[in-house]
Amino acid sequence: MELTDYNNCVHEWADALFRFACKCTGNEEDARDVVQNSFEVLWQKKEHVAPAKAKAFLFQVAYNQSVDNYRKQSRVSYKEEVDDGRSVWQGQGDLKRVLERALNQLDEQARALVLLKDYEGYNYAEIGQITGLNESQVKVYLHRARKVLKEYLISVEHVI
Amino acid sequence: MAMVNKDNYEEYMMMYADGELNEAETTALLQYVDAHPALRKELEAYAAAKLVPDTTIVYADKEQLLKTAPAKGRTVGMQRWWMYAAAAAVLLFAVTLIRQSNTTDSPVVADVSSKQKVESRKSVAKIQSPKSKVQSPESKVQIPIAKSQSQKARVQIPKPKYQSPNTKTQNPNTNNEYVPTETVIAKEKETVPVVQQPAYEPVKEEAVVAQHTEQATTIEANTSAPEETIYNEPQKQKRRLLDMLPISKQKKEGAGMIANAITKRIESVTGNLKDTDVKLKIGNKEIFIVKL
Repeated sequence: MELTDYNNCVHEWADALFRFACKCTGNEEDARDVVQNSFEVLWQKKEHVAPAKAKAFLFQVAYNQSVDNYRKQSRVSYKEEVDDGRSVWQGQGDLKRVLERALNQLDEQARALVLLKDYEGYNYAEIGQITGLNESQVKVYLHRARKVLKEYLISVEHVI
Repeated sequence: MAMVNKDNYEEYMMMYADGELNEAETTALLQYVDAHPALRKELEAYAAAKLVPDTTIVYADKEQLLKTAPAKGRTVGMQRWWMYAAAAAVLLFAVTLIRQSNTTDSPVVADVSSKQKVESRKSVAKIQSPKSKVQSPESKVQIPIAKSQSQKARVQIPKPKYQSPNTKTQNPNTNNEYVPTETVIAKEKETVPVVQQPAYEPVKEEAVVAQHTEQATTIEANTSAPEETIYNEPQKQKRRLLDMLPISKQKKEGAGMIANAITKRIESVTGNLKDTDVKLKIGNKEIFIVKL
């Protein structure tokens, strides 16, 4: 990978990586660190990373850092109660908000898997390469997570 | 045809939501759901439980992540500059030292063809250890020696005179391990030109009487004495400087090897050295650049 390839990666993937890191770490400050570190690692290893593999490489580094970061600090609590009467599911904007809330019900690994699937559109095999899990583990964890999200949506719907 | 049933339909639904079903599997799932309308809402719920990225969240400091090509000829990464300076000084010192010793060494190795030189080297070889490289040409020495009695006499006379300084240099052998090999080599270089001169002259004038040649050797032996001291001093000084470096013998040898490698490399590109820089890289990391 050349200098220009690297800079293209910054333009192309920095936002996506930041969104992913934001959701994984739970705060923008940590996410910014994750993005900086991920690109720094890519720069150092640029000789060994083909341009086509750069995005997966960035997400792999970001995943490891986000999950480690979250596990070490565990200072952000995502466990929220479905307690307020405002959690009403009305229209697309509300659905999005409810899903964000639902996402916070998941542990950091399941959250990362869902994000890699839904945000980035990776298939099970690719997610396996990024996270270091095998394909069937990815499938099982992802389905477990998806079920939680679905149950959450249905439960909110029932509240209405 | 994929078989969807009450035990696996949920997995199919999730894979459908994940976009991991092929065409046949998708058709099978949708047919199953058509046959069981109560499940339609569940399928829709799975399909809805997909996250959509919020494109309003962007990374603001992209400029900081971008990299630029390093400026040509600029010195980079000079934190702890004194370490690099010291490393560069040692390398340069070693390179110049090795280069110099290489240039003086090479004619000795190359000009073995003359019997007189070989004869003189024979005397040196006697002093050196039996493993010495100089021993191999000895066999060549034997063949051409007996051209004339006078020549033999001439060449052999200086032997004891040259041996005496050699035996002097053997004394430091016991004091310092590093000095002896170098001084012996130095000796070798010195004796060669000195003995060459008397040996060549008589070859040109073959009719010279033995008595005259004896005189010649004594004169030459006298003139050779000051030459020896002149050659000897700088050699010893250089060696002492290398010995003074606070590094182990092994490292000195390693530095010598590196210096040799650099010297060879430099010699191979000497013609193109104009307007070029010398870069020191360890792995892929550029340590510093010296602009020539």
